[in-house]
Amino acid sequence: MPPSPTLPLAPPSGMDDHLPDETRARASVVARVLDLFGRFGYERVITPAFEHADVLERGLEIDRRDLLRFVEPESGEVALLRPDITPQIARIIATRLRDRPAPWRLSYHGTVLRQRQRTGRARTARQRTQLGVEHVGTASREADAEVIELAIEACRIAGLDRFRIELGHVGVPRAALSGLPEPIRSAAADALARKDVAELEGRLDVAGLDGEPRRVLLALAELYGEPDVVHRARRVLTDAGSRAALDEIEAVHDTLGERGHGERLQVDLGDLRGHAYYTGVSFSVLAEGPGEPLGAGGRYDRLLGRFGMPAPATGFALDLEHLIWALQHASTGWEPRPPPRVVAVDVRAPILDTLRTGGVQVATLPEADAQEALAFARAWRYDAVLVAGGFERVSDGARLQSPLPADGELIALTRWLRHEE
Amino acid sequence: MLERDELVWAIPKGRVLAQLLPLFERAGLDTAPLTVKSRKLIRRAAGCRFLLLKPDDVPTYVEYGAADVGVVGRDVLLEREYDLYMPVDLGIGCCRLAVAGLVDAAYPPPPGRTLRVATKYPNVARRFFASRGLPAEIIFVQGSVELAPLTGLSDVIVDIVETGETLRQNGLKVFEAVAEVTSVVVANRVGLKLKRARIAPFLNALRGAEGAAP
Repeated sequence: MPPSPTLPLAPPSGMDDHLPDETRARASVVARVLDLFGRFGYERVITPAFEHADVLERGLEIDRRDLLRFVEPESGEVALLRPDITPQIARIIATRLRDRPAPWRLSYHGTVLRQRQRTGRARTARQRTQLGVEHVGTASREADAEVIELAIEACRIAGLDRFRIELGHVGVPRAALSGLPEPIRSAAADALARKDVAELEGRLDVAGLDGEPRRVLLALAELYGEPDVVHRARRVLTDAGSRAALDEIEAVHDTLGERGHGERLQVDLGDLRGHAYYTGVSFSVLAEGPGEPLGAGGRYDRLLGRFGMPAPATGFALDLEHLIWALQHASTGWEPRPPPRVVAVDVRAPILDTLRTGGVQVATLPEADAQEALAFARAWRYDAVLVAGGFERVSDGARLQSPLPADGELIALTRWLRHEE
Repeated sequence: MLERDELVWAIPKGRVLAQLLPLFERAGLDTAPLTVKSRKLIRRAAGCRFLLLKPDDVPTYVEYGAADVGVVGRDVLLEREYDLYMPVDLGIGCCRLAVAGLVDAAYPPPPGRTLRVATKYPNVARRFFASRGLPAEIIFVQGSVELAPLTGLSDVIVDIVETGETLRQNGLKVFEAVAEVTSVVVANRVGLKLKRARIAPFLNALRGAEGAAP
């Protein structure tokens, strides 16, 4: 059946393609980051695009309206396009990798899908690409610090220099909110999450909340900034739960400081993002560009238990689109230089073989003359056209009479193609 | 060290701007570029830039990070779920969102027919009536909302009420308040953190100046 004329050919809103130049740049970032994960012992896994909703939803803290559910025809069960990969990793570890000795270090690269409500925020992207790791089975701070350091190194290896890591700990706001009566608590949590002091005060007024708990909650909305806010916080937060949380932040901060990352760190003690999910130190990666964190992570010691294998865990995910947005914003020449690219017309196979073996990308144009080949090369961003007589460089029309480069000459050819001669 | 030098403010054109200027002056912001008669949408001042926007667009610019901070009414924020910080309530632009209708109409309506509600705030209205357990047909209109009950388009409206004068002149009255509205400073989730050193002094000064305006 021909496509209906009323259906646009473009993908549904919020879905997107990536064309060759962009894909090459993305793939290079992905390859470097995944390679980095591997060098820290994080083994890559691939998880399915959808699963039974009741399995994935055990590990989610996402607005239910954002989920893309459907009835899986074979089983009649409700399935869910994965909105997050962490619950899948938790499932894998709790089932198929359960018998391996701890710790489990896994990494992933994949797309996640979320519905965006028409009534929701301005952003509408539905498909996001995540790069992440999960570290399961280590309760100590070394794992928290390792994961955060890995996030820092991932951004650096992608080419980003100007970014900061913001540390938080859900134990701090949770302790402060625990004193509130149930009906007020979630409204107060919302107001605190938005640092909306006026709204928070209003909610506390309604609850008739005075004294210490009120002072602490209002202070939390202001306790963010450079790491010294932890010292300021110690004067305000005196309960055992908060003090333990501050100790943990400080320990992670100090470990990262010893590793030379102190300058990148800042703290937000009123951060409530993912508060039903995280159980310890959490963090976000902040950089100019997309207006949202590039990624986030933290300790989630209760998730594995929901899959039948209680274990401590920490991890993070970077949003690839946001990371690339930040790289473009910083415009630090992050885009990898593609290998030399050549269009060949009427060139003998052995020459093509030599070039390809040498790492040159060679596309043949069997039906083109030299003029058409040049136009093709320009449109598809090739460096040069190769005809029997030699190379013609696309950018300036310069010629090189060297139809068959010997092994040693490939380097010279590459330099010439890139204007480095 | 990581901050871009310039702070970008998203400023709402119209009603609230006049009330905002004295607060900004007291907070040490150079407001001269905001009062110049000009059609320029970007106004430069010392160390910052002002984007002049339709009030409804302020949170969008700030959410995307095209502006770091902005000023917007809570009515706009209630209507759409923006992911923003709201660190200062300026206490200006005070008004409320309310349910209003013909002076002699019965409210709450007698059971038997679905309540028809005309509004510029469909999400606010939908949530409000849902929380009351009242089935309602929400009719989206762009402006002159008061006309809807007068012409029989709807039974009631949900709209901004400032002095109530427009309602009175059209034979309408407020039945019920939905939410109090003031103008707040909104900040981008990342901008507030990365530019904390530049933004915090203004926030503190604005907090001191809040409600001081007439």
